[in-house]
Amino acid sequence: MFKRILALLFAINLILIVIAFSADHERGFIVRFFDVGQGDAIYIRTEKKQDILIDGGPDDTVLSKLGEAMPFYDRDIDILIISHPHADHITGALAVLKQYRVKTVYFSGAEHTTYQYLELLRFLEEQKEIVKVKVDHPINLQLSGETALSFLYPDFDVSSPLAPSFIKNNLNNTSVVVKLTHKGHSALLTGDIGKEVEEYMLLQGVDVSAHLLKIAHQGSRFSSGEPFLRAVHPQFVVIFVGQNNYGHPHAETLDRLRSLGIKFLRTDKEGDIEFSLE
Amino acid sequence: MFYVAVFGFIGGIFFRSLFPLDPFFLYAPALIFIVCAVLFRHVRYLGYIACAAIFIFLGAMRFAASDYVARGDDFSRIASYTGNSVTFEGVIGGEPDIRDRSIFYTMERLRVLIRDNERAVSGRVLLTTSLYPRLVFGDRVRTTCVLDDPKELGESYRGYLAKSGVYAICRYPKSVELISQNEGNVLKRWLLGIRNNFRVQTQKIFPFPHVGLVLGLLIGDTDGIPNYLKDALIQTGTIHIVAISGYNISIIISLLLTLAPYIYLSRRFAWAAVIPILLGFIFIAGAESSVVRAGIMALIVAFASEAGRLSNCSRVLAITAFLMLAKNPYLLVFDVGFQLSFAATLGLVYISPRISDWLKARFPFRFIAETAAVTLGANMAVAPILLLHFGRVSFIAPFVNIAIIWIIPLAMALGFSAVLISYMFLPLGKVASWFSWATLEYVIRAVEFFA
Repeated sequence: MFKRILALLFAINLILIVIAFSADHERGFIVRFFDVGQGDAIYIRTEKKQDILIDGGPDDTVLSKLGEAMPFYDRDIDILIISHPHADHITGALAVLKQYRVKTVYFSGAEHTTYQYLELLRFLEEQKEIVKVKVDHPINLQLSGETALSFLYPDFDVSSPLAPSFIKNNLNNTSVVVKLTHKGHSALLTGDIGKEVEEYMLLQGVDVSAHLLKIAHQGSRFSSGEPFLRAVHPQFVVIFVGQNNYGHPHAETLDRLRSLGIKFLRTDKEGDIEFSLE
Repeated sequence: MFYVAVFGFIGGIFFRSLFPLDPFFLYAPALIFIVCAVLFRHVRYLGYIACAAIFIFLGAMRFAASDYVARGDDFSRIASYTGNSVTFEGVIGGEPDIRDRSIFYTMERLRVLIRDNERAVSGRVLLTTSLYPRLVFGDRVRTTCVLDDPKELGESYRGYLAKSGVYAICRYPKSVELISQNEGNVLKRWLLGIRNNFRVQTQKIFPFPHVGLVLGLLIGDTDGIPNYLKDALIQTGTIHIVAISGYNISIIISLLLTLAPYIYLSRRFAWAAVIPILLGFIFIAGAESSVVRAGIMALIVAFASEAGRLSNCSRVLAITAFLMLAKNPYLLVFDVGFQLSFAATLGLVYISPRISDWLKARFPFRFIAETAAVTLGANMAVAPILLLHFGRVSFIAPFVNIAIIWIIPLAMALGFSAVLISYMFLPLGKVASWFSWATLEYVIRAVEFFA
């Protein structure tokens, strides 16, 4: 009797696993903006089943979000991009590094002496099998035939004394900026960059145009200037924002978006936001 | 006479926990009753009353002795420094309690620094910090902060902290300086090392939020359970499955006893194996006093159901309660876990067998009848305590429990084997974890559905 019950449970179990497997098999390309409160966390899963995470948000929420978004048998993150060392971007990323097998980490190498960041650097140092890439030049990653990830900024070493002065007193300006292209559609993901970087990129002649824009720094008024928004010319803007005392997103920024006729979605209003870029 | 003494002692602790008056007020009646009992030896009940009076007095004294340390007014106790900015150092004791946005540490072996003088003080401090830097057991740290008195946060919170010897709170100090490492007890460090290693290994093979649930089931570590799931577990009255409350230990014992015949082991051998395995489990779970208590409770239930003799069992329960309270009198009123595990044990021993007999006479399925009886018995016994502390009793709790409890042993066994396999060969461990994953998924879905 006992053996039979056990066998039955085992069989049901097996069926469930098969169902879960096949359900995951059908999912295509997605970009998901996790609602992690006041901070950033962007998850990309390609049709080739590569997992990419850009920043981790201000706490461990990202772990549950990843648990939902990723198939249950997948414990690997192919690419983790750490835009810059502020706590609302790296705290969750550190938790992810500890709980998932991360293969490659991209970061700008900016210097910062908070406990979180030092712990992150120490952890990366210890883990020899993680490939670490410092973003100090434009990189173009062809993820598959139709999908590419380009690192647009910084195109110089942010820890070098020769770096432009606008990064010296503002860590936000060391943020890694990437552009994701899939089947002719693109998304520009800007970390927390300020207007100085936007102007710098426009001066350098970087092609920033994109269909989808992750607005910089929770919609701060020191970012997303009109020339930049015009150059990007997005159809949709995603604003990562949670409860905060900074007045994010600033009314000024929202007015700019409205006057340019750009639709925006906020994570505090919509929760997780998903795009298929097709 | 035995029960009079034990209940008298417990009553004394209870009385003194609620009414902080000088126990010498109880000394006088105790003395009077003793004199009466000696004078009128032929009146039997006077002897009982005298005995009760003595033990009530002793209980109150026991609590007063602990309380004396808590309410400090000289400078050898940490409690006397509350309200002031103090520079002190101490050693991180036990496992840190990691929440979503903060960490709670307990600092012990304190030394207060006043100008250039160092002075050892008794008591512990609850240290709250943001998520980083991480400190671990045995780190000696120095910090400066304004110590808060737990009293300001309410009498029950004060008692809750005092239970573990904490008499002052240090919240978010500006900096915490690490002085030295590995200062803790070697054995405890070793135990926590095993626990941590087990946790890291489990995290390698399970996804979120299943990893939190399986760690809760196996080692009572609930840090990894996301808040929404924790709330759902609380709402449905099933949070006990992830707290080492004697319940999961009972499961391990009954699993061993049930499985033994199938792997050709005699029942006697299985009983002999229970103790070392139980000890191993208690070690992995960190050997905190609550875990040890749970182990004792589980053993009592197992023996009771095996021997079917309730009278001996109640005596064992009474002695256990007496010893635990003699060691830490705060448990009685201020530790919900203590009350719940005693109530649940009483329910399992006294109520469940009756329900089980009743159900078995009416329903054909033994297995279901037994599961239902166990669940209902424990639930009925803890209901008054839940009502008292949380102001509500979940009426769906028995049903949710019946819906998920039968699968818990399976989830635990599969989860544990997956972790063991992963130690030998990681990819195979991952595959093994899928089986446990499906059972955990069922538990999560069921709990979320009812919540």
